[in-house]
Amino acid sequence: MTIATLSKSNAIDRRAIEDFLYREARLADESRYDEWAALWTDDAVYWVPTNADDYDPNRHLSIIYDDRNRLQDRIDRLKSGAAWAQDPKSRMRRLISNIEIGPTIENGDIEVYSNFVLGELRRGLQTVYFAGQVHRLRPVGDGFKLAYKKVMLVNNDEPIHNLSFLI
Amino acid sequence: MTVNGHRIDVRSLLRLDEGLVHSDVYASPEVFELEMEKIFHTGWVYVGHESEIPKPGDYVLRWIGRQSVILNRDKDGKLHLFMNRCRHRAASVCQIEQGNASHFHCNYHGWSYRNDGALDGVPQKDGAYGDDFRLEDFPLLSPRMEVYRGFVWGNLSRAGISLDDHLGPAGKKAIDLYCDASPEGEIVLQQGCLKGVIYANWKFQGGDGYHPPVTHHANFMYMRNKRKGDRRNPVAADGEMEQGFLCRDLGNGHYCLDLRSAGPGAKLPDTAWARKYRDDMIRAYGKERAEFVMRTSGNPHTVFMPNLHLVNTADLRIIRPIAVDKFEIYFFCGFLKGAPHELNLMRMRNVEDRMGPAGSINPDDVEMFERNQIGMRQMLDPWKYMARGMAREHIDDDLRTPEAYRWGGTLAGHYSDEVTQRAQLRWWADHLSRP
Repeated sequence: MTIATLSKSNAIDRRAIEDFLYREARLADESRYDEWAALWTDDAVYWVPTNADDYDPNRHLSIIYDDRNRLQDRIDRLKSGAAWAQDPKSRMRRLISNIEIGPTIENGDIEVYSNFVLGELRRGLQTVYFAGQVHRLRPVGDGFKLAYKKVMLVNNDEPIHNLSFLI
Repeated sequence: MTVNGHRIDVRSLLRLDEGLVHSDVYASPEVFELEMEKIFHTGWVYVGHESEIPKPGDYVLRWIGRQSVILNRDKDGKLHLFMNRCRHRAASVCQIEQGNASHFHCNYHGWSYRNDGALDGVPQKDGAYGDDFRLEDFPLLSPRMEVYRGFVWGNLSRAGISLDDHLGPAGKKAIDLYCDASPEGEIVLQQGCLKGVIYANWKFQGGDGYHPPVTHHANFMYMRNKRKGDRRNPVAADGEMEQGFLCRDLGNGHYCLDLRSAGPGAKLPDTAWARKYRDDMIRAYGKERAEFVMRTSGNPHTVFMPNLHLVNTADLRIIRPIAVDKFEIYFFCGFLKGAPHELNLMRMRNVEDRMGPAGSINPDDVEMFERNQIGMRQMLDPWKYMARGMAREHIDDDLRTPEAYRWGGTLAGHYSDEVTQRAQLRWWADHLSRP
């Protein structure tokens, strides 16, 4: 493979990966629950650590540590029309940056590191979240499925008001 | 009582014989100041659990009301509670929430204290303070501290009742029930915590059996759908009284939702580890007690005034008041010492599922507390109505419960009654009315 084709294939991968991240962010921002849930694989891990960014989640509490079933419970609850902490819903926009494509790991998952800033407004209270995140994207067909997402909130050791939206 | 130049007649804010409570109880900054003085800075306040600091030198930073305190062990493993304040010019000597330290240093002028509180270093001491200056006169100060089954309370007042009297027999039995789910009788808190902030008054602490079918309708709805056709609301349906769903006033402001008769909390699967746990429990407590504890492992939910909750499914909560309309809540998970990790993992996943800022239960509670606080600012008719169950509350002897956990002689009502809120407010008024 020549240098030219190598860099070209990297560029294509990067663009597809960025598109996936932006799409995932937009679906979360707009609380499009079903479309967001459809991004995930059956062996999904959705993790938002508390107190620190990394530890054994089977020995330490987490703000969120969902498998696919728990993630679906979260979605069904939000869609029920009676999840009062999202009634009214949060209005959100997040900006993703500092995207780095990491190694390809088991199942062919591509690990992607990025940062985001999220502005969230609900009932007169505007909250800004800063976070690092790790996505593991599994190539499926022409695109990707989301196998793993870990959100490392800068304030994960501080009292948090309401994270009942899709973070 | 006068606070900030305002005169507060606490008794005038409650008309509990009519079930009426004035909004100022939750909305007045002067009342909040009085609570700091008469409750948090005078009485017993829960600060932490011994298991959080297992090794010599371990510490956690906590608060008694607004005041920062260090709960730690010295080099010999002895437990201490210190005010986080240098004896010189009052700067805090510990800045990190949890750690291990042989010394606490004041980085302002360099005074340093051993982890048993003794002052052992003052820079440029010689000639500065006169001949009678002695290091031993300036240790870190310790508030009163007492421990029950590893649960540590502090008290900034030298006088007043013992922790034993504050908890009372009923309060101690609630702690016993929580701990006895461990075959070794000990819980272990080393799993971190979930931290929430709520823009409402700290006395909105739940312990309310009326709200779940409505506030948590989303959960019941999707849970019901998952059970395919079971339309029964799992909590507070008519007729549950007969099954023994109660709430109780446990005395001294403590209260509980008592669903001990509701059956298993965490259902034990038919596995080798679950069978071993059952055997170990029976060996430790005998068949009657062990089966009661395992059967009731999901309940009750006990609230200890002013700042501790024990929910037997696993979570232990600390309440931290910040302002009249703001408090924080910290959710811990009590692992059961000597129990299989699989069971502790079930308990931890259960806490995550329900609690914290992204849980399925807690955010909707927070939402209701905050809507409640909005209502408290309205003064067209400042009285709120908390009379539910006044006509049917009664003294209950709890005779179906093994003696070790029996809440005999407690005021009880239907699970959905407001016995619990009235218990809190009677205790509150007693404390705030003290000279």
